[in-house]
Amino acid sequence: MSTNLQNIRNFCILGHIDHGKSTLSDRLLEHTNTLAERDMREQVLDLMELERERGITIKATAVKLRYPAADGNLYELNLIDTPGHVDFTYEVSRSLAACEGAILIVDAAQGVEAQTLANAYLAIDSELEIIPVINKIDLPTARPDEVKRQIEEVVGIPADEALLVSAKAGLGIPAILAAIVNRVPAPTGETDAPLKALVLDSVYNNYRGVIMYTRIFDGSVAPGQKIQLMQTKRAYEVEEVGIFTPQMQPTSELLTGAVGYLIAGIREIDKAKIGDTITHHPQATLSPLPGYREIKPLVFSGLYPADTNQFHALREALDKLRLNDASFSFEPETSVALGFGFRCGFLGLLHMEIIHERLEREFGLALVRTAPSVMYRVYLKSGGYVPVDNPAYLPELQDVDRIEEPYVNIDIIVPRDYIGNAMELCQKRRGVYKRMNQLDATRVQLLYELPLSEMLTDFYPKLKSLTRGYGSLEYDIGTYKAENLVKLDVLLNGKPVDALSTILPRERAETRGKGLVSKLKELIPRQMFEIPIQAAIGNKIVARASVRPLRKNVTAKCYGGDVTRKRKLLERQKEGKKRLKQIGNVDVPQEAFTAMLATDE
Amino acid sequence: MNSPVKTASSLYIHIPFCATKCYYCAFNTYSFHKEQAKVYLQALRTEMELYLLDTAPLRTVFIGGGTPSILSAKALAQLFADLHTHFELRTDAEITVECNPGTVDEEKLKVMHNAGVNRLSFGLQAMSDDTLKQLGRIHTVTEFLHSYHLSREFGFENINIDVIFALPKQTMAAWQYTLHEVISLAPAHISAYNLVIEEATPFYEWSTAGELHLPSEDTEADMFQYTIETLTAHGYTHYEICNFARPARFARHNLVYWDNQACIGLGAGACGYVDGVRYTNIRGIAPYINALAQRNKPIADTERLTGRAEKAETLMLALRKREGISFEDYRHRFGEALDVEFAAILKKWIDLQLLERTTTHLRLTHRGLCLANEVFVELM
Repeated sequence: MSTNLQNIRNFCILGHIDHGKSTLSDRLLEHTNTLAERDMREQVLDLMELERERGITIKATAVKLRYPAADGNLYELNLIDTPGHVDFTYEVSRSLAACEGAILIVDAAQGVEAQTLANAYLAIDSELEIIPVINKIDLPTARPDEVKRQIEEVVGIPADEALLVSAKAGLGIPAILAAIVNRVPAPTGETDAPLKALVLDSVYNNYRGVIMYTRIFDGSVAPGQKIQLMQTKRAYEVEEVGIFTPQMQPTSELLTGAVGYLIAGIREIDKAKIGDTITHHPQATLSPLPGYREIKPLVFSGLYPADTNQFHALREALDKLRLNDASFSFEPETSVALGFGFRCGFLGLLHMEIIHERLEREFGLALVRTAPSVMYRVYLKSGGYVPVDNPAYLPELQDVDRIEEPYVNIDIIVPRDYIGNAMELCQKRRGVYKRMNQLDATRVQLLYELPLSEMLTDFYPKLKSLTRGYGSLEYDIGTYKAENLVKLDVLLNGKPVDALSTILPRERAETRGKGLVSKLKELIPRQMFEIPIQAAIGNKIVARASVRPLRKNVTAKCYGGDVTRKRKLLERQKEGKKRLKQIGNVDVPQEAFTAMLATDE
Repeated sequence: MNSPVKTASSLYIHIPFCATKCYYCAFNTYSFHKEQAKVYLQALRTEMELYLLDTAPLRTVFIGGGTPSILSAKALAQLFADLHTHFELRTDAEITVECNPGTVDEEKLKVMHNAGVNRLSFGLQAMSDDTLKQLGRIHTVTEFLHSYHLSREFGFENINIDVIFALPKQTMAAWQYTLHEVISLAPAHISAYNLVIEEATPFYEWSTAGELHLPSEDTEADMFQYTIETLTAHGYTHYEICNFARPARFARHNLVYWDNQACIGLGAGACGYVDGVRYTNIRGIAPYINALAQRNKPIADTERLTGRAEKAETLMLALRKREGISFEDYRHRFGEALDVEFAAILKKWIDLQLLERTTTHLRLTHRGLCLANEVFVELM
């Protein structure tokens, strides 16, 4: 590993979902013969089954490309593939901190979208050289000149040298490689200084422990050396360092400017936090890399085993999953209705769904998930505040001085024709209008402050449908604000079901109660007896309905011909009933616990 | 219900041919071709030979389908000749043939009568030509009446009529009309089923597409209640969930199934239960014929019924009978006490008034009849 710093380029690819990031990565790997053809498949860098299925990147990965440039030199291009979703903005920002340049990919037909902007701003904040790439130019609806103009006017970066490509058809790929060499600055750093390296991601491996993905800013690191992590202040001995091809390939050392991995016998993933600085021990660098922050969950929900006997299995699964993902939290909680389970914190809705799905898929668990909630700050009359992430635990309102809830700053891009629809939606969801920017002749950007809790109900799908799929959305965390909030409880068969409680604005509670009750009436199957459903605020019942008793469930004919088939049908029904959660003597399907998410106002 | 006997004394023969397939039907049937039927009956004869050792003198025979009465008089005569050649029938044996209105004539009735057939089962389904057309049936009400009266004239006294309720767009009044018309014919036996939408039928497709306007669950339950009350009031004994009979006219062959006793099944797609093993024959006609050409039993699937599965099936079947399951018979068959083994489940459903105890039996209550599957699911 004696590559001159001048021959290294560290870069990433940024863009809106579906604008072609993964396909472009695949093409760059092909063009530099990084992978033999037989190893090529779509989305090479997305290793997780879920990533391929959903077409998204959840974990960052890195790969080293060898590129013989026109100037006769062999360059080492490190491509860092970043997660593309707003839930993972912090991880993205750390990946960007490991780069000097970014390819900003924009769909030639769709143009600049909310995520394009958010990503571009992150890259600008990280002072990266941005190479705009207009993809899918072979589409009949492509309008590259218009998109160039948008990049200049909306994103605010020069686009006269934007590259025109079709990643799918493999057009324009050599020009991108040349631009990376010519336009992205080589890394700088002091090769003789004490080690200073960034943890840009970390994963857990059953055999090796924690594998840190790292970028070396100063100095070098080799097996056998002692290192420490500056946040957690623990010392370890380096067992192995190496690069990604994209498989891990051990090397004798990692030098300044390199991107690679480092294994140092760390057993717990939260000892190797994303954004932390690695240095030698004891002769440490004087200053850690800037930008580190603790990642805090924003969205909380309860996860309960559908079968109460599975509590310990769920705990084990959560422990194991957390080895791989330090960004979610969990602690045991008890629900009167659901029994023993865990309150889990997530970075966002997508993150929540991914964890839930991985628990069911990778650990074979059947889970009940309660509706997501934000973290409320409940200020008491007696002074001080309590954080409340579970509506069931909201203190009695007579003891409450005020409740504050978190807001987010949202950034919506819509075609002009749909401004009205989008604004009406924001207004309905308690949005506070901030600004409107004309992006170009056809599109505007709307900036609002919105309670995060409003994002947890069907805000995004509503926005999509109200704008015929054209609206795009980004958000970042804002501040806490006081709101007039109450708790809406649901009673089944006269008994309150804590897992169905929700916190919401007083003026909307009654309507919502009515909607929720009729939704539950649809979802709860008819049973042996009548089931009254009520919604209450405090002691006041605001809505009621009832599920009428089941009257008929009998197989008409049953003769010799199909006894076994009938038995198997009943056995399947029995399995199906296991997916229902028994609350008191009422069988409740999983969907009931998230019924409040569909608003249907 | 007694312990299962090793050798069967009941026989089912499947005739898998129909003129056309009704829209709700999921049975193993194919359109009728005279030449194929001839070869099929030859194969059936070979299959009979392969089961000679498995039978005791037969107490019940049921020839079902499909439409057995679609066979020609000559073919029917051949079938019964084969039956009598291969099996010994008790003098009091019940021999039933399923008939479709419009496919029986004097000649066929004569053949059946001479062959000892003493019970006919007619699929009427509805007493309205419009409804029959919507079900994909090929006959009219008039044709049914003709077939029925002709059968009576030939001395067939033990006749069952099948009717279906909860049909698409059917009103309570329409169902009441059908039921009363059937009662006025005074058949010995009436089977009244609610329509079940089976997969792989036109009705299933239409129902998933939302084009089948089925009565609500409440209407269906009301129709069922009305059926039970009306037939009982007219002197029919409600002896199984969907079956009603004049005294001494219970379907003895079907009781063999509900008692979970041995029965040989012959023919394409037929099922049998012999020596504790349930088997299902090959469904296709050509492969069925081919297997028998090699003199192999044409069996596609077998399952040895033991333990919980045998108990579950026995309970599920016996509880269909109005009298329920006898504690004594259960102990005799399984060596265990039903009310000890299933104590928790029994208590739950007795408390919910879906099951009840008599001095000798456990049975479904009146309400339990409509909700039988809720109970059966937990017995699985």
